[in-house]
Amino acid sequence: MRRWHRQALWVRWAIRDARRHRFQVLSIALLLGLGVGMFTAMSSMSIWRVDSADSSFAALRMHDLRFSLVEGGTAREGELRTALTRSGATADVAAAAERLVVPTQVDASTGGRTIMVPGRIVGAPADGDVDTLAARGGSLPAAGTDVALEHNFARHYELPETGALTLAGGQRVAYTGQVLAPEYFIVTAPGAGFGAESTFAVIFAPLATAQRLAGKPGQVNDMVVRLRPGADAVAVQRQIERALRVTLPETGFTVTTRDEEPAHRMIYKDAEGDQQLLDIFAFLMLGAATFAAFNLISRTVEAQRREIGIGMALGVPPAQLARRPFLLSAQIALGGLILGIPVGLAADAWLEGVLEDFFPLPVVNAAFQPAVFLQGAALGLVLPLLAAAVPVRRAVRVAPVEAIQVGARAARSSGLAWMLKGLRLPGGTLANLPLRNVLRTPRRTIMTLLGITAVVTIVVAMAGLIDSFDATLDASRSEALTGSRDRLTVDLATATAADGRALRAVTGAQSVGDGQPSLRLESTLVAGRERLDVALETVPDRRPVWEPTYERGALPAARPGLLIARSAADALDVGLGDRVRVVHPVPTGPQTFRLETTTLPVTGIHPSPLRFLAYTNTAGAAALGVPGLVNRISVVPAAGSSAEDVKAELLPLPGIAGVQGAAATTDAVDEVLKEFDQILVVTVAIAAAMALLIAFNSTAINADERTREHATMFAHGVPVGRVMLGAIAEALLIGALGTAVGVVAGHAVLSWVLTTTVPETMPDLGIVSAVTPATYGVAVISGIVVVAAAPLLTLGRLRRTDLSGSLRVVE
Amino acid sequence: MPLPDARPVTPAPATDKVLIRLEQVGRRYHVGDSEVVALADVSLEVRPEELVVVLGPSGSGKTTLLNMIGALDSPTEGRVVVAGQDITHASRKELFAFRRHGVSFVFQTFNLFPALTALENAEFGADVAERPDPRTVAVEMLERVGLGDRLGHFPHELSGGEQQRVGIARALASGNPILLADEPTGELDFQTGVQILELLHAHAHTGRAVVIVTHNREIARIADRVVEISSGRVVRVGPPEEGQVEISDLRW
Repeated sequence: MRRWHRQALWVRWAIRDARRHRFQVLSIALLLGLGVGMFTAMSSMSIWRVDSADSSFAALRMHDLRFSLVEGGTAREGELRTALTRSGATADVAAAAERLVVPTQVDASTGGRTIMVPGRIVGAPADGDVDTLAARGGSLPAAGTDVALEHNFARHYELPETGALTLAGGQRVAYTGQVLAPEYFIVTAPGAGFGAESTFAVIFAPLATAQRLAGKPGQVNDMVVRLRPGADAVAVQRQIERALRVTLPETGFTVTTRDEEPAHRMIYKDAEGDQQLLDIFAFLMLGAATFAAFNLISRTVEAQRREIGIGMALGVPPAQLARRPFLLSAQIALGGLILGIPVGLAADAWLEGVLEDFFPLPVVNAAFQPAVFLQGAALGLVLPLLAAAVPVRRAVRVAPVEAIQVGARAARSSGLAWMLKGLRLPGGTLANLPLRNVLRTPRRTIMTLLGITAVVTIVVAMAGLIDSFDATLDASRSEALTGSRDRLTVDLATATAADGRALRAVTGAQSVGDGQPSLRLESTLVAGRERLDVALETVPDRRPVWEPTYERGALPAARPGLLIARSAADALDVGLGDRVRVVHPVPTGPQTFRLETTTLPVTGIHPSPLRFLAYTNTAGAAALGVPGLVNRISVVPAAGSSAEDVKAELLPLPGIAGVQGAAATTDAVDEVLKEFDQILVVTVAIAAAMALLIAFNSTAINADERTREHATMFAHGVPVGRVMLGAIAEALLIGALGTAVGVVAGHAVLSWVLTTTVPETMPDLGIVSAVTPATYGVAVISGIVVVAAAPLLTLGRLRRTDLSGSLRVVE
Repeated sequence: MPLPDARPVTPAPATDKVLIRLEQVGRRYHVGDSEVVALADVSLEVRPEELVVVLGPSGSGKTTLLNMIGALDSPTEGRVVVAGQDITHASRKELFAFRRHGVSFVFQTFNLFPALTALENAEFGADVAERPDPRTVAVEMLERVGLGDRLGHFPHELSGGEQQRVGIARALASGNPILLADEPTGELDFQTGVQILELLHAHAHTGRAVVIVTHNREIARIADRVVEISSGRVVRVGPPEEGQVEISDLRW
């Protein structure tokens, strides 16, 4: 009982300490709450994403292997399945389906709004047991002419659950519902490495419907295979490849494993990469809170120095004396924990919403993660106690006689103010005081500085990431629109001769001003062991509409040449003059292609950040064995016509697969990244709020500690405004220093993210590092303006200083 | 000790110029429901070149009296005129200006700025009083208090006596006509205390007035006049009761 009473005394005492510093305690608890809450929410993201993705891929029975005939090539329905049967791998196959996957143009215009984008028809057996569809409104198409519309696209344009679409060739179809499909959990367009729901529409139809819509009755060009658990995927793949080569000797094909599917790869890679990024910010936030806690506890312990000394003189063991500051820390930690729960739950709800917006999946597991919360809570509890350990240890190691002394012998050290000894700065002693004070309490200065540094690091890295994406997309857009901002690209359904009917129809259209034909081939560049998938486009000798920019070298006039992106050259480790093997399709018949390998010299580097864009010239096309073929036309609208006019006129023409703005890929990426911007913007806002809390905390401690100095100044007639100005100048100095360090650290974090995380999650984007003046502005506002303004929060207290009492305080 | 019925009469020295005039000054505080009378009916005049010691036990109101003169506190009754300025009802701004140019303080706990050197602390006094060439003034004052060789030292590098001498140099550097010292030797040993008193005594005879607050009856023996306070009232004003002595003859 007596023992309990003794403990209760320490607790009561510590509660009084907390009450005395209630505003600081509350501000640090709030800081910790923000840190713990954000840590919990941010750390839960990857768990949710991986859980949701696992469940969603399993629920829709995603394929393990996909065999696709080279673009333009088809086989008779049943031939691919025959190859599978002949492969001898059927025992390992749980399900397989032949499909027809063909490009198209989709007109989803509704209610006076024009929505015309390139797209794809995916035809598969309605009763298949692989790559099934999940309805997100309406129902799956049963038969006849009905189709289903990919949900991400429909959601982007807020299309109704059911409706009508016009496909290439003017075919009108009804869609009975919106669906999610595992291959399109993240929508990718040909040539674009990631999300393209705003510019690419996928239509799902029963196989017979798709064949009819594509004008390829009885034809297929794709087979998806789901393996039984425990099957050797590599062995099965080889068996089927061998069988396909035998069954379709004239037709090239590519194999894509489940892990290589863009949607699959991106979901997991992205989750992993984003988590690394979020972890950094979560830890920075917790770090900022810890530095602030350290400051307050140091100050409290310092203020208790004499009391600790008296305790030691009375024989109280140091461990017992340490209880009081530790109990204060525990209260801060508990406050942080309590505040962390609503912050965490709110952040959870918000991030869950962002997640659902960003990656709508059929199964979403965004449950509260108790383990992650406990981890954050443990950190939130331990960090303040660790912060207390250093000053407490220092205090209880002092000899009692030193601790209890007052007057001259207790005079505070001048810290690092000696560094300015003999240095005469402009202005009087008052003007010099802020800098001296900054140096006088180096430990606190450093802790405050680190807190501000952490915040500014978050601001610069996060906002810099947005800037870098923007700069990258601007560079890409600028490159795509060189020469004409209205340039469009028209994709033909099949490669045709340069004097073909489709080409003539396009260039002869009323709304088209000029046209420039080219051939775009999905190819692979190989140099040594490095391989890179690219969209290789031929650039004709006559280039009235557009030609790529040359950063170095060029496409020569008479001999074959290859122009690749700077980032592609880096990835392949090649330079001008190096020879690269190009694996590309070559037509072997009206519907068949085979893959061939041709070596071309790298003759130029272009500056577009889109790594997958590669170009060759007319001589190059000849070397590739595809001279005179065309499947794309760059056009500019005629005078008085708009891009929409061109789309409206060309879409119904036969043989047209798609018409889109030349920067459509960039715009698609831009749309997707805007969703991610939300997370960055909110994090930056929270960081700015944390800066204010850190600065307030530091200022309040200073005001508390310097009461006597301020009273002395008032006794000398120094006005309150002048003293406040000094406090602001001091905060400004720390803020400026913290901001400077934070900007450097932010650049380092940004650079690390851009060179490690982003290339893994967005390999096709040669990201350009950029930090705009606006970001520096936000950093200056968070780290300097907010911090410098914080002393104003103590103005009332300064004005109410008890002069007489403060001047006689014996510390 | 019974309080005198009659208000004590302040004997005025030879000069007619009055630097400090308190007329029936009183100060009451409210603590919870009760009222505390810190000062009551105090009248006092101090002239240039006078060294006045306000003597009294702890809680007698002597510091409150000093605060009234120094414009750190305002009376609830009576009138305070210092250096020709009626500060009884002065605005906050006027009080700040008055403290810059009218009075200077020496504190028991020195109250030096830890981040400033001895020279800079003294310079601060000249700075805020807007004296020309504050650095030269500060050097001169520090040399006068015997710290010419400690100019670049920070407070924590100085002994208690040295710190108090810096405090005095800071007060002198302001050049203000009135110096108010609150228990200036309270934190010091005897020898150092004597040195401090010598400095204050010397300063009083340069045309300024010095008011020292102390509870030490021995120190009061160096005063030209002693104002004894008890329970907020002046109980005696006059030369030291035990007789005036030279500073060198002090013992405590």
